[in-house]
Amino acid sequence: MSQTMNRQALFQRINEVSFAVYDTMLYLDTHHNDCEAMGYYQEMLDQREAAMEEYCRLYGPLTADCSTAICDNTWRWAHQPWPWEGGAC
Amino acid sequence: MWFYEKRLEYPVNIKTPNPKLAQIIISQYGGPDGEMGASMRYLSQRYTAVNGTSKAVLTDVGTEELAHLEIVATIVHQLTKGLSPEEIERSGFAPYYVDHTVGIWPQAAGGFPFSAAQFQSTGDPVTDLFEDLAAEQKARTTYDNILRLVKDPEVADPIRFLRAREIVHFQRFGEALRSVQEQLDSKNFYAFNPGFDAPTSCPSRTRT
Repeated sequence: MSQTMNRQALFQRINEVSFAVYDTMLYLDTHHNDCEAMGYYQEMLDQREAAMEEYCRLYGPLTADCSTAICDNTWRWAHQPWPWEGGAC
Repeated sequence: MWFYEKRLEYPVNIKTPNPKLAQIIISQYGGPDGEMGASMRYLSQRYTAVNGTSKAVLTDVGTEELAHLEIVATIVHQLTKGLSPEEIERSGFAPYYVDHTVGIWPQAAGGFPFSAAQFQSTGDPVTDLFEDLAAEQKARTTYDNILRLVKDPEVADPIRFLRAREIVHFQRFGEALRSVQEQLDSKNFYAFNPGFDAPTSCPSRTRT
C-alpha cells in the first residue's frame, strides 16, 4: 500500500470509530444502565485515541493540541487541508 | 465549551460542480428545517431541561447538528467550485451569486434568510421536546425531497447519512420525552411547567 492509501485508510478508520463513539454516547444518554454499551463505548474510545495519536504522529494534527507533536518550526494546524477541501486531511 | 476537530463527521468528496443542486441543498444550511435552526434550537432549549437524560440529549444532538451544518456547507461549497460566469447564469445560480459570489450564507432554497423565528425555545421541557420530535421529522422530509432531485452518487451519499441521523435523533428525543413524562403526574402531565414551576412534590430536581 502506498503512503497515500495508508493515510486515507487511517483517516477512514478515525471517522468510523469516532462515529461509533459518538453514536454510543447518544444511546447511553437515554440508556444509563446498559453495561454492555458502556464496554463497547470504552473499546471504541480506546481505538479512537490510538488512531488519532497515530495519525497525528504520521500525518499531522486533526486537533490543535497535537500540532506541536512534530516540531518543524511550523504551526501545522493552520497549514494542513481543511475538511471542506475534500479528501483526507 | 467546544473543541474543533479537523474532519467532517461523514466525508464529502464531490468532483462535479452543480450550482442548481447547491441552491436546493443550501436550504438544509439556513432554511426552515435546516441544520442551523436544529443546532440553535437544541442548544438553546437545554437550559430549561429538567433531567440529566434530556440535558445530555439536547447537548449532544445539538453538537452533532453543528457537525451536520459543516457537512451541508461543504456539499454546497464543493458543488459551486470553479464555476464560470456562463455556468452561473445558465444554472439559475445568479441571484445567489450576485450577493454572495460562492460564499456560504444561511438561507432557504427560496432565498429567504435564516431566522430564529423558525424554531422555538418555550421554556417548557415537554413542549420543547415535542417540537424537537417534529423538527427531526421535518428535516427528514426535506432530505427525502432533496434525494429525489439528486442524481450524483457523490452528493446522495452524505445526504443519505444526514437523513439517517434524523431518524436516530427522533428516537433519542422520544426516549428523552418519556424520561421527563415519567417524572411528572401521570394523570396530568400539564399540571405545571417542570422547567418553571417548582411544586414541593416535583421530583425533577433530584432525579436524573
